[in-house]
Amino acid sequence: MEINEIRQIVSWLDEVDIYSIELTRAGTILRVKMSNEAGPFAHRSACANHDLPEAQAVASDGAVTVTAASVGVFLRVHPYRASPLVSEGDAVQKGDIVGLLRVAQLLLPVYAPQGGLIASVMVADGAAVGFGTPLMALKRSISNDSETGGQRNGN
Amino acid sequence: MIEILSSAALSTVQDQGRDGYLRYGVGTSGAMDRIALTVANLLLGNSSDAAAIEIPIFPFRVRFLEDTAFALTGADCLATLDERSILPWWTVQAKKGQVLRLGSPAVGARCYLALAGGVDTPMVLGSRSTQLRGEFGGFQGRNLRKGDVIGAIGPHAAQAKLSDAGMPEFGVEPPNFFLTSPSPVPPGDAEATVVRVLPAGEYDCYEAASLEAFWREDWKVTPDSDRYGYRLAGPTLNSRSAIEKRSHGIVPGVIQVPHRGQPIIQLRDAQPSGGYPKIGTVIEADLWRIGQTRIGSRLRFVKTSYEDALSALAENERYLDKVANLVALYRSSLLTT
Repeated sequence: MEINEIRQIVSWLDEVDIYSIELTRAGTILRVKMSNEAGPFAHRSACANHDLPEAQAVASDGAVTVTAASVGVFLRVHPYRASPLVSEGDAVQKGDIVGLLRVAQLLLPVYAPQGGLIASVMVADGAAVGFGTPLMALKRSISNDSETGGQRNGN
Repeated sequence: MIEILSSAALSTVQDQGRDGYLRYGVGTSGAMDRIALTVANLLLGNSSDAAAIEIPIFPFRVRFLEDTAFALTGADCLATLDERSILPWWTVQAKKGQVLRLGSPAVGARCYLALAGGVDTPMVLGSRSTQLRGEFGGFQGRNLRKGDVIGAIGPHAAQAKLSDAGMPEFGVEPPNFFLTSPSPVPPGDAEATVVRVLPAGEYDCYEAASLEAFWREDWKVTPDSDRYGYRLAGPTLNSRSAIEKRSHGIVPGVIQVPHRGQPIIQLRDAQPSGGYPKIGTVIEADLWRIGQTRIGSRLRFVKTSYEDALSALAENERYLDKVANLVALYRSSLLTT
């Protein structure tokens, strides 16, 4: 990918209210995160690499942040349901669906990357989020080790 | 392949229906909620004429006899696959041996279970739908029973590729949130299903008070309601003079009024002809709403025009086109990463 293309993409993002994007082409992944700080091109990081993005950031105490894997509208509640998929304090297993991202009419699952307790939900139901927006904090529960957490498809 | 584990009263194999044979006395059959069936097939990347299982009675259980991607649409039945809960209007991969359970619906009346490639029953007169009256089509021309083993056509090449890449799990927003629900005048029971109706052949033969009541009152869906038709209870509809008709052709959606004055909405398994006078016809675009209306709940009729009936159908198509485009984009994006 040419640097001029990246400049062009960054200038487009500068004009609209998009926090970050990820573009995938054969052999290349471009991830652009826009800083909210003032000033043109201040603290903006653009990196092209060949790795898939990490879905979570691991803090020193073993807590993880669940981040949005796509641009969309964050839903805590399925449109047909009355209660949220998870609430603060709920125990979840690795692979549980803890939220949804609505992209037009599509509903994409947000998974718990490890077993644990929902420490906090950081985004309101119905809020627009960008790629990488932190959605929830998960902390490890004493009784529930992430490596032995439930499988994605149950058992 | 799946095995039916519950005595699955009234569950049938249905596709979009057996169109084109009314003139020979063969009813259309087909899904009561065509939108739900269409979306279930879209979620899996199935062809649009693929058949699925229509489930109107709960609880319902099936066991997967092999790894199979499936989709659930229609009524929200608080489904679980073994211990894991499955969201409504959703697709996911099942593993061999897993059991899918559907509970009593929180929303809607009929659930559609679609399998990768579509349910494999023979095509009869161009359709896989069950013709209960004629006892042909679908699975041996009858309702499904405990112990029945139903095959799936299986994934075609593109589906298999996606399955190898780890079948994606995702869903779509149900049509209720996209399609505008007609508003009744005066506004009635908020829980009532509202459908648009075109006045039909004998509309003008009814007393003014009956016609007023027809549009104004809620109609209760009686227990004597099924795929053949919904029998409604409400104010008595009186014609100004006795109406005698010869038997004539009718289509799903026609609202007949037998002599006792309580209307019947003819539906997918209706006979292709009848002699009762017709007061109206529920428009094609709203028949899916009736398919999701439960016995014991209420229906309201809103008068519409032929032009508005066509634009309602176009609005349904826009929703399905949007879903089709989004799902195709999403599925292809998973193949390229």
